[in-house]
Amino acid sequence: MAAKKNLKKVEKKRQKASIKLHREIYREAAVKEAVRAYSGFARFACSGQGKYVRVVITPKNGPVPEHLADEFLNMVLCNSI
Amino acid sequence: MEKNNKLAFTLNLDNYSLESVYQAAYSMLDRLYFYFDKKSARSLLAEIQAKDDVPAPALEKLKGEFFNELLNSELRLQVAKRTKKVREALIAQALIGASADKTDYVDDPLGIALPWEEKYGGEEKPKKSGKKTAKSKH
Repeated sequence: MAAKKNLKKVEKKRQKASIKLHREIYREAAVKEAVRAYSGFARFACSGQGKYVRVVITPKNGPVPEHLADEFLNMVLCNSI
Repeated sequence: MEKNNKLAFTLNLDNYSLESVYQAAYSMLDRLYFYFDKKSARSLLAEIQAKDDVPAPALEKLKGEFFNELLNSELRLQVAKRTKKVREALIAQALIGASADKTDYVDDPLGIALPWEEKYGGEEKPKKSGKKTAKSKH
């Protein structure tokens, strides 16, 4: 039963992810570049929120891969350097 | 053993520059996931997560490695700043030495740029006199 609950939690987590990226740390062009690179895996929606760029990741075909958001973040960081 | 593969800590930007944070993070991108956020003008929130499932002490060790790398990057940046003028002078000197200011391509001492007619005054091109000889059979 507990395992089922955990599985549901993981599934829910894989449905949608929202990330806030500070403009002084992550360049907006770097975000766009990374979105282009990862657009095959999920749907990305970017919007500006003052000092932040908000990126919402939603599944495209099936659930969002487990570490997609983390890998995406690393790529944005790498592009920002 | 407890497995917790996420850690959050604050970095003071008075001690480390943002550039050295970038460099240190870049050098560990293969082992860690990074997330940075600005808490205030002079402090940075850093979140690290191990790519593999590692126990808490191993993650602490990775955090320590990150801090060491941060110091390393900071020092390299400081040295780079300090020696900038010397490096620029050296490169300028090397470029000046390498430039071909002694000879000018317009001089053309071998007459390469001259057409055949100008060079030999309408003379016909010498024909190759050597005839092909049959190879001797063994």
